Amino acid sequence: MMLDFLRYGTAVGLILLNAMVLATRATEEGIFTNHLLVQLHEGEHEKAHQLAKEHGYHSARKLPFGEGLFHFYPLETPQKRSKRSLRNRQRLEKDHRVKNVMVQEGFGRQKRGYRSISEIDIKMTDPLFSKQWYLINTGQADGTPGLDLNVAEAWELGYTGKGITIGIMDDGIDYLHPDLASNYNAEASYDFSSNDPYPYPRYTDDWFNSHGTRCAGEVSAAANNDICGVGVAYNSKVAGIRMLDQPFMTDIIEASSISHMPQVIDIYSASWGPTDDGKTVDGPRELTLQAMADGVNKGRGGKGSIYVWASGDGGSYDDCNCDGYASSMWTISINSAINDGRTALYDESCSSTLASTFSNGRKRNPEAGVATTDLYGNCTLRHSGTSAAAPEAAGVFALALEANPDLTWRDMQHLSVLTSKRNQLHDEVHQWRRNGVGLEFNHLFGYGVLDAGGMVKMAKEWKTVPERFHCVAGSLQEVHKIQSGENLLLTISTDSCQGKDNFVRYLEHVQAVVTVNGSRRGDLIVNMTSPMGTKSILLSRRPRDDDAKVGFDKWPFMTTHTWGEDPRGTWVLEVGFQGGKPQRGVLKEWTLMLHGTQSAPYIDQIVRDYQSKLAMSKKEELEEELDEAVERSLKSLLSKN
Amino acid sequence: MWSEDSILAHHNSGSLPVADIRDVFRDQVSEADIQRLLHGVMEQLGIARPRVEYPAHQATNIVGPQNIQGGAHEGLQHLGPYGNIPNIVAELTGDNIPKDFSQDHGYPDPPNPCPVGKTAADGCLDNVPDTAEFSREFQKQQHLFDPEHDYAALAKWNKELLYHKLKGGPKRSKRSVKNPYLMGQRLDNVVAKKSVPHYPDEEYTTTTLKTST
Repeated sequence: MMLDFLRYGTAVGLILLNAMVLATRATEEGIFTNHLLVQLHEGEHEKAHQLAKEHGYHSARKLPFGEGLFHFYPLETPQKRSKRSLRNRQRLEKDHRVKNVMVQEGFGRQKRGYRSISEIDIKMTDPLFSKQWYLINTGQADGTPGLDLNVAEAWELGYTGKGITIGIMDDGIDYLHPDLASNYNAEASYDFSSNDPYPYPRYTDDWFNSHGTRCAGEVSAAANNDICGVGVAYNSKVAGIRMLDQPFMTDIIEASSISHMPQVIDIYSASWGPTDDGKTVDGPRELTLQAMADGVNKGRGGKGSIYVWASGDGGSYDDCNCDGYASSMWTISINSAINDGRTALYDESCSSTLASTFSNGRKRNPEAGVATTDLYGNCTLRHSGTSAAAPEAAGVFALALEANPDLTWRDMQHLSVLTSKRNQLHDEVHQWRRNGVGLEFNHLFGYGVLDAGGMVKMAKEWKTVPERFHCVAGSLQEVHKIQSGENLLLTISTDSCQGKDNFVRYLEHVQAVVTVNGSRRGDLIVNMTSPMGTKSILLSRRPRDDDAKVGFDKWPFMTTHTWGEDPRGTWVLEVGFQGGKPQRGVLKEWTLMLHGTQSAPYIDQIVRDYQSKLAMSKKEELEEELDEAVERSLKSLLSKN
Repeated sequence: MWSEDSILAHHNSGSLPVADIRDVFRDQVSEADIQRLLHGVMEQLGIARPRVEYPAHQATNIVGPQNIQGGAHEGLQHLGPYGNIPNIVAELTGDNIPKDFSQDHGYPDPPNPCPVGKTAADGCLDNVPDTAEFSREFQKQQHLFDPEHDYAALAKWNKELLYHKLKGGPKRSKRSVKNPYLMGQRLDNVVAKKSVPHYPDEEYTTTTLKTST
């Protein structure tokens, strides 16, 4: 057993080394960037920054490797960039404080497994295809080339969603639409708003009920038919579940929708949830909860229904951990990035977000929106919001399911963690960080943007992850006072149920079930740090929430950031207030729930790309298993003697 | 979900979360409560079964009206093929009352055109043109023949009215409001996240969406 590990470990190490040597090969011709290397007569950082500002640059960074050397960063104004930047540079060169200015030449650093856009050879006759930057981003609408779902690679491998049905839980689908009709699954569709099998949208003068049709097109619009654009999984079937268009929502409608034909519908896409007003804390009720649990336990022949959830449009004023649907372990909650890698202004952040796809936001250019089908046979370029992001993810998952129909709901989450890419996503507020096992994550984007090509390749050879266990790691029930200015710190030390049947060694989801209230709920903040040092922001400030009574009652805050970590050790919960006025509060409960596997989930997986997250995680697991095996045998040796 | 025996067998061997039991049995005991309790016990004893997911893992004590988004309650969509359809902006801040005239629309049933592969024998409408005009006229006709069906002023929608409608009152056409899915717990303010609220720092220089005709 031990020998086996050893041999395996060395082999992996050798191959890794090889791969690294190969990968250092740089490529490509020079392009001139707007980044400048500037040498000044004086080396003061403050002055350099001032100078940069004066000349139309964003900032200056002092370079440690030379006297008076600074890196001048350009302002992010993509339009008319070249002319203005030339002028700026010429002015800068003449400035008396400046000794020398050098334009930085850009050179290619090819990422492995990454292909340039010109290599993609996909021809579609659909008129809007070239506007679908989220499928293939060539820089349309001032976007960042290459920042897309990488569907081209999946398509070229032959995966287009054949045999997979995606249910769109929304306001109906225009299933007569010529771009959708052939991919419409009538048998799996239903209208819960008017209780019949035909979820055709209700007409209003403002065409308000176009949302489901738009979402359906993103997933399943037919290809090469000269109509509108192309769906992410253009040979998949789409089912309409009309459930958002009645005088009020009921628990029965929600529960019925998410459990509609779970043996036929593979993936459910949802763009609804608690009101994004920044002051609501709400989640699924009894029937819906039961239906969700049933879905993951029994749907798709026991492999589990895939629930894709939009993380919400509440922007920085809201936190999707207050949305019990998005923060559920059974849903894959998806956030969005815009076509240049920034966050959309409506993006809601939370630690339960697993990955991201694309939508519009903050850009004036109408073509920066999401191109898809629209009501009554029309097309649109301007589908928007985080709810445009969820169907894209549903489409990518359909491609993965076609590549490997045996994937369970948990496999899909593992694949999302392992194949999502940081790409060129940037977040002004939250840094990208690595968790205890080296997986890179961001509070807003989760593990990054979905990569369809990477996902189908890994899905194809994926071996279903080991059984999942649930461990209550500890529960504090004493009453603790909290007040502004001093954060309450609590700790739970846990062995993660080691020695019991439900020992959790490799984490998937972690929940902190918290009962807390305060004089202003919106000013409460909650952070949790894992034994391996990963800090999750479980709740950030919600300035609009002035609740002073209800607080959070056994609310399960969920984090995906500690994925893969060893949960044994000390967990720290930090609770406090943020905001102008002094607040007081009481914490009554913190229960730590760990969910994950006993055996290493990646150890048996086949590694093709030795720089992938999978390769890294597998190596990590091999090392840890080896360590533990050595420790065990030492112990047994000692006890024998 | 678990055999009674296994629960009893472990009853004496571990400490039960007494506070939980009291909480659960204080008021009415629903099946979900019992399940939650049992599950808690199983987990503390370390005999929880793997693989299966329990509602207890997500259950929370949510009370009061549910606030869900995901219906006709948001604005700023680019509506219609040319984007020239007026858009009513729902406010994010303030009173949480949607500023949306669809409240006055009522909810007539849309037409049920036959999808590919279905015919009138399946209870749908054959040869329906996929146009806004057809839907508008269809729903208008419905309004004429079944005035009660169109829930005008749904703000005044209440349990009495629902009861009245479900009990039927005078005999009504077959297409009347017998939607069983409207029974059970009602979730107020459930709305679809169809579009994005407007942010002041959005990179728009002019408003591209009109709010009046």
